[in-house]
Amino acid sequence: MTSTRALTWISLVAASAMVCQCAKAPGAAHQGAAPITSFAAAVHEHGRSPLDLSLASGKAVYDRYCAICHGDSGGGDGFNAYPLKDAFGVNPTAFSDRAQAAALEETKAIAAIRNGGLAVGKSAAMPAWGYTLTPGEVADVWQYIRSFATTGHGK
Amino acid sequence: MCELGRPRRASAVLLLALSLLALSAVAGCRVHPDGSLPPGPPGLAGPHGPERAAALLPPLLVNASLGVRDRCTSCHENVLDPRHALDAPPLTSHPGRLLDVHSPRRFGCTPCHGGLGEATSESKAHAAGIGGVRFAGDATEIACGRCHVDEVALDGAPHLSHGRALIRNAQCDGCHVIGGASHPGRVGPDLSGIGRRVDPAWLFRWLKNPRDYAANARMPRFELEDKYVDALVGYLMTFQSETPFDTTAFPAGDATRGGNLVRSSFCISCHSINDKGGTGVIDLGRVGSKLHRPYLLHLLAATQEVDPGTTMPQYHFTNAQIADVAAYLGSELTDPSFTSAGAGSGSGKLGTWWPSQSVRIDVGRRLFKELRCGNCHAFPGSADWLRVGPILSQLAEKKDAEIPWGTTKYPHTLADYVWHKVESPSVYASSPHQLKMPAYDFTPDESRDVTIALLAQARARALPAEFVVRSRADETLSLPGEFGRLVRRYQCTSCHSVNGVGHNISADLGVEGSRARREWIYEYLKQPYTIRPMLTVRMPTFNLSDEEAGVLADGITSSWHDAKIDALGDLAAGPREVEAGRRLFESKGCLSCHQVGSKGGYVGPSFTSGSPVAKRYRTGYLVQWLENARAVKPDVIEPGFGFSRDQARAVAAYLLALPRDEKAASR
Repeated sequence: MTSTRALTWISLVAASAMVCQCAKAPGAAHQGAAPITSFAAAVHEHGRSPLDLSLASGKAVYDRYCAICHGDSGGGDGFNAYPLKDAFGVNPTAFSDRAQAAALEETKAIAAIRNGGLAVGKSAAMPAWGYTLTPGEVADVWQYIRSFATTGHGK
Repeated sequence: MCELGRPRRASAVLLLALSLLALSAVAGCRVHPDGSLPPGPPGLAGPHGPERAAALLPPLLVNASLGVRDRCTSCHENVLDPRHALDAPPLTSHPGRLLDVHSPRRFGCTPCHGGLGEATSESKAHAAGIGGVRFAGDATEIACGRCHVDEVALDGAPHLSHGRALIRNAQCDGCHVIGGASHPGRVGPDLSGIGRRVDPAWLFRWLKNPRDYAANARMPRFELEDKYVDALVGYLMTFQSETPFDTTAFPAGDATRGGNLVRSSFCISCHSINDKGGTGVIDLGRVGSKLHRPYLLHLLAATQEVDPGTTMPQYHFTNAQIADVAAYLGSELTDPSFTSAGAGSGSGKLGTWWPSQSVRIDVGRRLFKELRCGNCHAFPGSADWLRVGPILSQLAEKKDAEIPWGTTKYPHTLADYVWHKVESPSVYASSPHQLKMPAYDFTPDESRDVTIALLAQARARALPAEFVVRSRADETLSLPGEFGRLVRRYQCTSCHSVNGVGHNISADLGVEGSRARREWIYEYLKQPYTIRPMLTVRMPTFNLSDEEAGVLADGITSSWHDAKIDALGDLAAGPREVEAGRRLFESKGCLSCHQVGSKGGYVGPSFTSGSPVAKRYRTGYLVQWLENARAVKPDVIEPGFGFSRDQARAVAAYLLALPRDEKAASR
């Protein structure tokens, strides 16, 4: 089924209220960038590279499944990070930390996402997402995770 | 589509096609190298003439019932291969997981992306979809509306969903004929008796700008001069028809007790108070300066009688409790600038703009009709909708010449017209008096999403029935007897859905009778608590009587269940199975999200405190959930585990064997 229930229309309205704290006129929606003066630009009809699309898909996956522990900005400081220390003796990896990010090796990190922490010799606190995410989604979320340390989404 | 500027690609495709034809001839069947795409139609494989040229442009996706003949994969040949996610277009693979549920074999490409599937040049193939917009980027969601005609929470289409929710919330279909996302009733409250309910000074400021009163107000701003607002106030205050509510049965009330009751009843699961809490219904931060006490008492005592269209449940308060709540709202949640005593911003001159009260009321009556207030509100003597706006379901047929572009400087496409009109309705009006449409004060992002939703509904066409996906949310549950009466009284479907019917603020209850044990349902209804520690809102406390909770628990158990799930429930587990379950539980990191005793995460329900597994869950549901949670809850966040039936049973056995007592569990 395609309909989703967890994201309620109420949270949609709430999310829109949060997303739309920006300026008023169409054209001022993206600060810092040139004003958006056409609908085609507002809907990104042109100009998004495959990497942009991959990052957007990765962000959707990350925000839904990962941010609760790893933090919205990849700081390893999500709402659910604290109890992991007590239950497993570990902290979630902080992707925005350059040292921790540099230590991540692509093949191993993707294996950890797909098969869980235990499978790569780390903690069982990291569940396996290979039954949940498609290979494409794993690749996308890995792109997005890497971007925390390199493009300054993170701290 | 590869004819220009891509000689090497075209020849590669040609070679591929030739080898394909050769293969078919030898094997007597038609195959494609990756086996994933269907072969072209047989008629095109002739050896001579123009037919042969057409046959050399494989592969062709065909779906006769959708009118699809798409050659897109001639150039976009990697759409199905995730290894090409970062390749440059047209060789990149399709992003996201939409192709998992929309196989190109069934749908082709153009139903979602527009363009001309049979075209053999890039510019023709990439023709605009609707209103000058190509179905690319976020605008692709416009195309979703062709099949998903009315869903407001459509997975994978956040902009379309958001736009539809905004359209519903603003009731655009009050004035416009509009397909998809129509509101089933009038979105505003019934105005009968409003003269007894509210303070005229409040009404003045509300009509000037509803968002001054509450940031999440649904009503738009009509941009009226003060004297016309005053005339409307004068007319509305004549709506005094109902007899005054007898308040003698209610004591004075205690604001402190009332505040505690508002908090413990979780009114903020739906209402916000000064922008904190739920956002779907109006903020209560200033309600004490809006509603007179007798109306508040009446509303709390007989909610659905006072406001028959409400989504608010009827709380089970005593008269003393109702008086306490009214005292709290009336004294703590106030803003003096909205009352006659405070007389803020122009309302001090109420009733002084017109030579006589009868002229004032007469002007107000005419304005009320002119502004079509009755399209969103019922009122004494209200009749059918008087739709005055353009028919938006025919938006796509609007001709460029019909659009009053004026001096506007942005691109002249239909989509740009709609976008700017939604964002600022007065943008095309040559004089303010010409304009009927009020201002909704949408942000740019909201305007974009409303535009996407409007263009989507205009694209809806007659489709073969098997492609139309319709939301069941607005259907009504027909539940017999006392169970049905209580489900209506407590407005269960204002938050829950039952097999898709109702709202999706909380869990679907379609198989709740298979999930939860009757005794747990009974106790939870009597005394709700926060099931998932990370949530801040929960089900309100209704103060149900024992009898009511019993009827609801029996009804849920007997009506909302699934025999197939129940049948998985005969579980006779020995210590070895429990031990196997424990090892799986630990290796899968379940504690990351769930608590056992004092250890574990805040995401899912605790397994020992509040709702111990053995007390809450029925065995069959646990087995089904652990084996494939998505089969019962498609949007679940919990990862899949790939458990076999035996493994699922072992983990279920372990969970059921957990001690009920929190202290015992943490020892």
